Amino acid sequence: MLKFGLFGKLIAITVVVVAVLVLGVSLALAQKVTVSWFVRSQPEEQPWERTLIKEFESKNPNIKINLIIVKWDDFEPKLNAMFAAGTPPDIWSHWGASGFMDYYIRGMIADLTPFIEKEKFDLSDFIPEVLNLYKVGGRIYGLPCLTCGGSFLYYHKGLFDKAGLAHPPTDWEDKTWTTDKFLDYARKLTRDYADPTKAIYGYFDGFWPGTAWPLLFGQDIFPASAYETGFAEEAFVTHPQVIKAYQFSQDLVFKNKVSPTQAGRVALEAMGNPFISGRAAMYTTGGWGWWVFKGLEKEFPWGAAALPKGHPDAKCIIFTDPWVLAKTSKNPDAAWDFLKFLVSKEQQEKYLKAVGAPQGRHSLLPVFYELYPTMTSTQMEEVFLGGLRNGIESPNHLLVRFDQIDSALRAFTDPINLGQKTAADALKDGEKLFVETLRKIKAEYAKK
Amino acid sequence: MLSPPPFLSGGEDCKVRVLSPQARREERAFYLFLLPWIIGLIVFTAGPVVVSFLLSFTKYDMVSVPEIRGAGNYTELFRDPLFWKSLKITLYYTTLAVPLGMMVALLIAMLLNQRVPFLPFYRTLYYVPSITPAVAGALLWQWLLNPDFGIVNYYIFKIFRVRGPQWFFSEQWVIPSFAIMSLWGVGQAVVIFLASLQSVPTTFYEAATVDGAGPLAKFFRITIPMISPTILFLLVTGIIGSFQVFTPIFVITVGRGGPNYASLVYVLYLFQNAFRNFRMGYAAAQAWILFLVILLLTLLVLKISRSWVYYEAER
Repeated sequence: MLKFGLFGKLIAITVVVVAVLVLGVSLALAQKVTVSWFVRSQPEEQPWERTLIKEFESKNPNIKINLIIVKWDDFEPKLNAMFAAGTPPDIWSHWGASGFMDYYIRGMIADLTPFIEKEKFDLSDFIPEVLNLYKVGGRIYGLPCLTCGGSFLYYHKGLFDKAGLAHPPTDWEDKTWTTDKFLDYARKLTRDYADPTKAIYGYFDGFWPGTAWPLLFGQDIFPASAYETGFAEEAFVTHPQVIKAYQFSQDLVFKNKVSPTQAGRVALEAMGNPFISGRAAMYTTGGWGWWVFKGLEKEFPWGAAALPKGHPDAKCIIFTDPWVLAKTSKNPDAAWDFLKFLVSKEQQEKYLKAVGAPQGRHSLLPVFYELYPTMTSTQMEEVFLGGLRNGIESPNHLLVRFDQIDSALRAFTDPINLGQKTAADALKDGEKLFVETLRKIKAEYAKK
Repeated sequence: MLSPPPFLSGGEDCKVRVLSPQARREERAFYLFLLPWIIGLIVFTAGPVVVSFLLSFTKYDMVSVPEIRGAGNYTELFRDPLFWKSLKITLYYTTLAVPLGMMVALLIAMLLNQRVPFLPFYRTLYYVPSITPAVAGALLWQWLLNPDFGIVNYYIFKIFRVRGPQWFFSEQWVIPSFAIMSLWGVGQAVVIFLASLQSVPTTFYEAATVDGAGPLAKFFRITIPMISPTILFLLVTGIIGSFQVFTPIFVITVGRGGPNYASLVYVLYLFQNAFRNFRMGYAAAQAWILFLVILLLTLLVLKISRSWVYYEAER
C-alpha cells in the first residue's frame, strides 16, 4: 500500500482543489458566450462603449462583450485578418476605407431579416432613407448606427464677423449661396497668404472622398447604377462639369490664393486641426465635424452651413454607418441580442449626447437639434435635413473595394491638387488607368 | 559543459558514429536546445515561404477560400502598368540611393579615420541616426523638406534667393528626396568602412609616399583596392535593402506612393495589393518576382566583382 508523508498529502489536496476550481470555472465559462465588438479608435466614443458594455453585461450575465478597438488605418487589414484566421468579429460597422457593399459582396455579413421577422423587431422609428441604404434585394443587412446627415461647410463665426460678412445659410435651397459667392467670401476672409507661418486661409479643404467636388458641380464621376450594384465599369472623369469642379478646387489654391497648398495642408494638419486653431475661416468636410467640434463652441464660435452650389443639381456626400453582424459568427443569437441593444433608443440617445453624432431614429432628431449652443434648433434642423435631402451616400460605403478606387482617384488627381497640370489635362491622362481599375474590380468580385 | 555532438566537430569522429551514453545524452540535449529555433524557422519563416509560393498560384482575398488560378497572377502582373512602374521607380531609387549612400559613408568613414580630438563623439554622432526608429526619422525629414515650412527650403531661399524644390510633393523630386533622406541611415555602412580602412596596412601608404604618390593616387591605388571586398559587401546589401525600401515612403506618402504613383516603390505596391486590395495571391506572386530580381542582380554584381574586387588572401 502506498504511504504518503505530510508533503505528499499536501500536494494531493492541492491537486484536488485546483482540479475542482478548474472544473468549476470551465463549467461557468462554458455557459457564458463571448461576443466580439470591433470598433474604431475614436476617443469621443470610448466612454460610451465601456459604459454600454457594463450595462449590457449586467442585463445579460451569460454574454461577455470583447471590445476590440482599432485605428482607422488598421481597420480593414485587421478585420480581414480576423476573417482569415476564422475568428471574425461578431459586430462592427464600416469604419475603414471600404464599406458595406464590400462586406456584402464578399459574403462577410449576415442577413438580419430572419432575426427581425422572428422577433417582430420594431423598425418604425428609423429614418426610412437611412434604413433602406443597407437593404439588398429587400433583405436587411445592417441597422443604423449613426448618420452624419451629409457634408457641411463649417465656418468660424468670429472671423466672419470680423470681416463684416453675413453668415452662410443653413438653407440648402438658397439659390444665392453659390460657389462664386463662396469664393468671394474666401477672398475677403484670407489674410497674409504669402506668409504660411501666420496666414489665415479663407478656406481649408477637408473633403473626402474626391468625388465631393464634382458632386457640388452637379456631376458624379460614377454612374448611378454603381451605387446599386456595387460596381462601376465607366467613370465620367472627363465630363465638363467634373473638369470645371476640379479646376475650381485647384484655382482656390494657385489662382485665387485663398486655400493652402498640399504641403501647407500637411504641415498645418500636423499641428492640429487648422479650423480649430483659427487658421481657416471656412472648412468643408463630412458630418463628423459635429463631434470633432463639439464642446469647442466657447473657444471659437463655429457654425455649420449648407455647401455652396456650383450647379443647380449639386449634391453632397452622406455618411451613414450601420451595425452589421458577421455571417460566420459563432454566437449569432447573442450577437443579435447585443446588436439590438446597440440600436435601442436608450443607447442611441446616450451615444448622441456623449458624442454628438446624429442617429438614424426620427424620435432622437429633436435631441440632436438642441445639442449645439451656437446654432438654433431651427438652423440645425434645416441644415441637417437639407443635407440628407441633397445628398447621396458615400461611394466608400456602396462601391466594392473602394479603398483601391480611392487610391487610383487620388493618384490621378494629385497633379491637379499640386498645381502641376490643369484639371482637363490631368483627368484626361488618368482616365484610362482609373477605368481599368474599376473594371478589374468588377471582373474580380462581380461573380461572388 | 555542453558541447556539440562529436560528429559535428569534424575530424576522425565523422567517420565513426559510435557514441558513448554521455555523448548520446549530450546529442539529445543539443537538439532539444536547438528545437525552439528550428520550430521558429519552420513556423515563421520556411512555412510562410512555402505558403506564399502556393498562394501565388491562387486568388485569395483573406475571406473566401483560395481559388486556383494557375499562372494567372504572374501573367496579369506582366500586363499591369503599375507593376512595371513600381519596378522602374525602385530601380531608379536604387541607382540613386546606393552609390550616394556608399560615397557619403566612405567619406565620413575617412574623416573619422583621422586623428582628431573628440573622435569617439563624432563616431557616435554619425552612428546614432541609423538606430533611430525609421518612423521618427521619416517624420523629421517630412518637416525638413516641407516646401512651405521646411528649414531646407528656408535656407535655399535665404542663400540663393530662389524657391526650393517641392521635394515630396513633386513627381520629379520625390525619389531624389527619398534618396537624400536615405543618407540618414549611413551610420552602419560608416562603421563597416571604418573597420575596413583601419585594416589597410600603413606600410603601403609609407611605401607610396616614398615613391612620391599624392593623396589621390594613394586613395585610388591603395585604399579602394584594399577595401574593395567591403565595397562589394555594402553594394550587395545596399541593393537588396533598397529594393525592399518601404517604411519612409509608406510614412511620408501615407501608404500611397504619391504624388501620382511617382514614389510607388515595389514593396509598397506589394503591400497595397496584399493589405489594401486584399489580393494575397497577386501580392505573393509579386514577392516571388522580387526574390528572383534581387537574386539575379546579386549574382550579376558578384560575377562582375571578379574584375574589380581584390582579395589579398587569394594572391
